[in-house]
Amino acid sequence: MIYFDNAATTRPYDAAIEKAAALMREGYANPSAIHSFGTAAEGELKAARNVIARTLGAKPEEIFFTSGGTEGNNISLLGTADAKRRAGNRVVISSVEHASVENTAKALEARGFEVICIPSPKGEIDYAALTEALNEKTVLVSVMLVNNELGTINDIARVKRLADEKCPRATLHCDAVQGYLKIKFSIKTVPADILTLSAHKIHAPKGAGALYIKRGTKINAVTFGGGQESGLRSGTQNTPAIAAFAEAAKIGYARLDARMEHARMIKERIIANLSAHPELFRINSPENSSPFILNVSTPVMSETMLHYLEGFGIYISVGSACSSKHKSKSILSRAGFDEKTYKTGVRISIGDFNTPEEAEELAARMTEGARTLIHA
Amino acid sequence: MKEIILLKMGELVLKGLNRKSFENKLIANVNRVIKPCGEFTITHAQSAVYVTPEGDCDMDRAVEALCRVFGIASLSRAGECEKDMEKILPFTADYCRGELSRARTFKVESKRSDKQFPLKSPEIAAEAGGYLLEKFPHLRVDVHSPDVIVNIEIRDEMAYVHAGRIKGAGGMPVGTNGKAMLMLSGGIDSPVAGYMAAKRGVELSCIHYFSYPYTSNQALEKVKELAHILSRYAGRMNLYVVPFTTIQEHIKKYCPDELTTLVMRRIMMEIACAQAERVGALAVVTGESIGQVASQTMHALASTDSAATMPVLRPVIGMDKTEIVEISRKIGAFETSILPYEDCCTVFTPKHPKTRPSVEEVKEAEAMFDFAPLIEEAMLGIVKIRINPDERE
Repeated sequence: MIYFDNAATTRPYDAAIEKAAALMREGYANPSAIHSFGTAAEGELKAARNVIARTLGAKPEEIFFTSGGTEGNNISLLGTADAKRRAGNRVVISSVEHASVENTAKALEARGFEVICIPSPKGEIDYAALTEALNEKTVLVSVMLVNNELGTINDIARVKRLADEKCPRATLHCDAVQGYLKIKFSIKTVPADILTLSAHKIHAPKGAGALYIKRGTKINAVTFGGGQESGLRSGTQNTPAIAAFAEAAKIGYARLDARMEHARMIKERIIANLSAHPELFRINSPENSSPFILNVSTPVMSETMLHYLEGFGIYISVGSACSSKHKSKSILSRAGFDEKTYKTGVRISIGDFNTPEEAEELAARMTEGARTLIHA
Repeated sequence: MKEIILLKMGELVLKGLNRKSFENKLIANVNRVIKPCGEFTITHAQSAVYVTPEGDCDMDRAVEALCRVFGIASLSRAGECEKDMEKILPFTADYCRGELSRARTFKVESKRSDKQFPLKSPEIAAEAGGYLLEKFPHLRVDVHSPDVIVNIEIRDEMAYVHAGRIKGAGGMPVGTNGKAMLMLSGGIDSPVAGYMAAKRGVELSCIHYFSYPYTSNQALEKVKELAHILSRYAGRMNLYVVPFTTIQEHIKKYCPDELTTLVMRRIMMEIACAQAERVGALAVVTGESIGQVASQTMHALASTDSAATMPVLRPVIGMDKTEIVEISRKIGAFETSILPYEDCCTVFTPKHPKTRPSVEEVKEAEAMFDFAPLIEEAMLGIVKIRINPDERE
């Protein structure tokens, strides 16, 4: 099997699996319990919080564990809007956000907020349009760090400067799920007030994630219960997954340069092979995109190419796996690509386990498919 | 209290000397569907079938399953009682309390197969009617169109009481009218066409054309699921999956664009007939409805039909989409039918399909390439999948 769908989810590192298994077997206490068994589990959470904070250059008390990216984005948008509903009612997002931001913004719209979607050609937010949209009524700006379909990287520092000028009191949220430990950044270079992270995109299990929330940022809880995670996210923490998340983050952070270099090498290898057939392939990802994501248009319908490759045990994706079941407008079309391009676009997403040989095999099969299959 | 399920046979009771074979088929089908619900004994007398549970049976599930058996006009759950009017009267009031409380008018019908029983049928009905009027003073008797009919049957061993009748699936027992090959596409119409053929007693086999990678494994799973839903009515069946990719690619490559769908339909029909012949089916069933799409205009149907070597049955030919959808919902296929998996087939759909082609024109288009070897290859590659209504879920 050749797995090139790492932006959908990744194979966990062995160390992460072992960490989770050990905690399920031996460290299964409720971290809120006041006996020593529970305290030990709480210790694991504390250690994990330290690790995640360190990878961002943040303080441990600024890290809040969640169940993953979707929950993180929901808490960020709903919780901020709730806390600031008296300060204004404008919410500004990019037009290519993940469904968990886009649909949450729609829910805010239904609650009376004015939601403005900023065009994002090729996945990059239009800074001029953004400047125009920001005003003193703006309470929340949400712009993703790395686009999940194209790998396009947004300049969040620039967004921050614009926001500081036009709406200094607005909260800046950044969905960093596809950027975390895939590109190099810290809260200094990505100066958002809130960052969303997810564990399973960085070779950790599903069911864990985190929010970085800068100290002093106003946000309310949107679900209620036992008051875990400082009351922001009630519910017993998924300690095995969170500890495994930290384990994976440790590995991913320590080797970030090498991992990025490895991904870039794989990506370039694929691009080089496909670019030998300019009549067949067109690269949709921009030049300076994430080394982990490559979007390409082929002459055949994207699903046909996906199923063709599947026949050889090669897995890629079309659209984002979270939204491909719905027939809403695709991210690619919202990023300004023409119909032919988005109907034939496929996403190849790279992970730590991919090899150059796999890159060669993928490109060879894609070329074969592009030649033999009926064109769109 | 013991309950039995009482089935009224449908139009098969009008059959003559061969009625026995229809009844036997019905009873075999009944037996098959209630097997997963526990142990039952099945007996029949005149136009009724008695399904009696032996021990612990899931009666709700049995009734639900029996509602899908063709050949049954109606069914009711009946309470069993000792054959003694002293017992029958209070039992009837108690057993039918729900129906009678909700009704305004009622009547009692009675039947006795045990002619030794001291009261005659009209006397039983009159006595029970009087008793129930006393117990439910809000009721009136209406012999013409009552809200509820209370039935009391005196049989050899015991008496049975029931009120409220559930409509059965109607039609004829599956297997009493030969076998046909259903072209099952994965859309809304073909499962409905299959359902309607099965309703008339036709045993089904299904054929599906699979164009991987233009259609996905998910799409094939969907077709299997539809066959499974259909099998709950039509019984066990085989689904034949024809590898169709190469043929489609060649049609696209060699035939004029505006006629590709029609050529494809003709080749599909040819393969369906050949496979039908192989498995002893005498007709092909399709979900075509006149004028619904370009490939179902009268001209298009004539072109497809001319490729057939046996009768082609089109049970939904005169139905509107809304009527077809209604049946699709009723049989529980609709939600599956509308799952969106086949988007890639659009690469084979002509931009401007010809809606009034002559048969000759389509035949000429087909003759632009020698499809015979590819058809033969596709026939050799057919995969048989057994569809069993009792599996899955």
